[in-house]
Amino acid sequence: MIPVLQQPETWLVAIPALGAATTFAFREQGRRGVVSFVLAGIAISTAMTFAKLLLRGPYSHSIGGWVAPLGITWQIDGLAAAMILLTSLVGVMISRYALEYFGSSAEEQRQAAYFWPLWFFLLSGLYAIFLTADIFNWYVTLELSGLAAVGLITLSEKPQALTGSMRYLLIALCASLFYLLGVVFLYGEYGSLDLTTLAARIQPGSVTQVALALMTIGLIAKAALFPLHFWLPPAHANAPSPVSAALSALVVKAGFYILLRLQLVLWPVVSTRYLAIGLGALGAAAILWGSAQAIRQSRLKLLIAYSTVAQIGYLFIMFPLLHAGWAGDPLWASYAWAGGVYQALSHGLAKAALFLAAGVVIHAVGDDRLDSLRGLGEKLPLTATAMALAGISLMGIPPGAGFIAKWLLLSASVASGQWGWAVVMILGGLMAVGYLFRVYRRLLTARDVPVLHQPPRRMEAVALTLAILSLVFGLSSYPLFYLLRIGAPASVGLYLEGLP
Amino acid sequence: MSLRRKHRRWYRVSRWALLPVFIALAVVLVQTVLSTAPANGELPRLVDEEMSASGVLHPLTAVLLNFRGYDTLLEIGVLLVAVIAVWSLDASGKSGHLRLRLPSPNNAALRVDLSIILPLMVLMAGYMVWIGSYRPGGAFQSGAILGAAAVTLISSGMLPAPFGRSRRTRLALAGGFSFFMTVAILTVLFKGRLLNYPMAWAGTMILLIETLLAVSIGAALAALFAGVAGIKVDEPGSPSRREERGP
Repeated sequence: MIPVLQQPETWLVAIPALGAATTFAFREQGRRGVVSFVLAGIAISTAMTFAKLLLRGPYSHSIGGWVAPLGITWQIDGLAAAMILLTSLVGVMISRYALEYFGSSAEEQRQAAYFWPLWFFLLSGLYAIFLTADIFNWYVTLELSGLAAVGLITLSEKPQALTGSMRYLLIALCASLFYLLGVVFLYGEYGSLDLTTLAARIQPGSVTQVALALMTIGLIAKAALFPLHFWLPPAHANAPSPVSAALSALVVKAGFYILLRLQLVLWPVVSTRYLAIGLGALGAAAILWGSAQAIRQSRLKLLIAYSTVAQIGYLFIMFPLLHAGWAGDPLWASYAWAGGVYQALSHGLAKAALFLAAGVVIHAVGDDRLDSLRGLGEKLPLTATAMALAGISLMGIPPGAGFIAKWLLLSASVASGQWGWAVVMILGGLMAVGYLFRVYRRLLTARDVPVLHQPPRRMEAVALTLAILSLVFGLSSYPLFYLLRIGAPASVGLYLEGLP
Repeated sequence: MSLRRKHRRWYRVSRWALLPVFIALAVVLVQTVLSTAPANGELPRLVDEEMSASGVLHPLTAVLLNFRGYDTLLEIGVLLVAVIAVWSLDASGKSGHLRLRLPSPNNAALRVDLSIILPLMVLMAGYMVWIGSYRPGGAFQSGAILGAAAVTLISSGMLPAPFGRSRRTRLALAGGFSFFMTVAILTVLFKGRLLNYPMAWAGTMILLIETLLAVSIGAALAALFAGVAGIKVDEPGSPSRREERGP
């Protein structure tokens, strides 16, 4: 193969980063060309990374040719590829949307001038997070994506967005420091920052436990797990809609992804069953609290943001199920793992679709009060369809991808005899029906509403595409299971073939 | 009103309630620090062994620019993101304003001082980059000096504040990161790995990267100063300053 194509994973980080620097230095000059180039680059690199993974199996990339523990090593396996796929799908769609979202007024041009560099830096940082297997490099990449996310929220002209982003900044900085403190302890104890090296050296002990606890606190704050979720609704609801979509679909998943990586490799050794149950309990609380809050909201974007709080809860139910699997039948661990990753993917696609659809509504009627939705089903049929299809996945109804996620998690909890989690998840599904039907009821009301601005067709099409994608992943689960099996840690990969 | 008072009281109570949490955290941290065994010397030994292949003679520079150069590359990205985020706030008039009273342009003492100090600062910055390869120094120290020089110029009114957002400034800001990233891409093309410098060229490339990084870091620090302060310039004796003294 020609050398350009041999290391496709490096382009995932490099192309958006250079796109960011270019759109910053040259502003609107040739912006459309740069954006198209970056999007094409992302699409090709993602496809090539997948091809490489399928042909070669899991592989690593030692940066600078320095082998760990001296240098930084990337590890590309099925889990990393799944997150990269999510980032690329949502990232490309949000970019297409944003090209139409920012209009030609002076204020919107100002927003666009800062949106593109920050957005491309965010994408680059996310890819960097999913590729790396170095605990200090994760700190750097979390800073890159986190700071870019803060900047993106402030682009909204609303004063609440500024308060929301300030709170987010403070929480994100605190969380980073907690994480970094844990990294320092682990480095002090084991003399390495490389995850694989650490996995070979780690031993149970008080320093290790404190380190992992500190890192966990930092990461659950980044992932907005209850009760550290309070920064999420104001930040996500007041940001510009393409930014809300990126934050809910991708950014919160980054913290979860790192936690999952640590959990899979380090925690089986440092058996911390109670910590896992604690995380599960917080997840259960998040499902109930987030859903209850979503039912109470009178603004569409706040409703969707609280729904994110609830849907993140499902991700954390995975941890006690994993531990039950490690203690009992490994099949449960496989179910829980596949279910958790499926949930991250399905929620990412469905939630991005919902936030982008909300952006279309705001464009059309000027605000996002739930009552403004009345009669819009007739005026914006594509957007209403997008909301309906995305909701199928969130409620966990077949054929949504969310159904497979929740079904796997339910199976794992029932099979391992942990009925409590199952009850909460079913309750969460019912509550999701509750808050989403508050949206649908209004959409389907017959009322002749004046649509202020006809939204660009492409904005509607993007939201609909993402919603359809969330169903496509639900129609056939085999490809994703096949992907997850590639390089899956032994602690979860044992029975992945046995999955339906 | 009563709701607000209630809210405030709750805030005061919750603040005290957090105190034991922080004390407990502090105790745990101190205990952990004390019980941490000193790190084994494996990594320092590895750094020593590979120094000859790093292209530089100082271990810190070798780690920052070569062994873990990728971390540094991303950190420069973080610095650029910080500037972009601050600028995006400033343009919408959301950031605070610091009024800067400029000295009179005829202040001869200032001009003489600057004409001596500034060239020295630039010289020092160049020296810092140069010695980085064998002694403590390098892009960050050099950038800090350049940034200080730019801040001096801004606050003495010789560099237009708010530190013009011209194309030239933006190029200086993005230049270091773009060049570093371009080198990373070229090494992928020619050596098959990110930031894998050809051994014979490693020293030269690191020096080039550090020089451009120093300029970008200096520009970023100055831009952050000008941006965060939201500097509005008052010409000496201009009437607008008096209006600011309102209640």
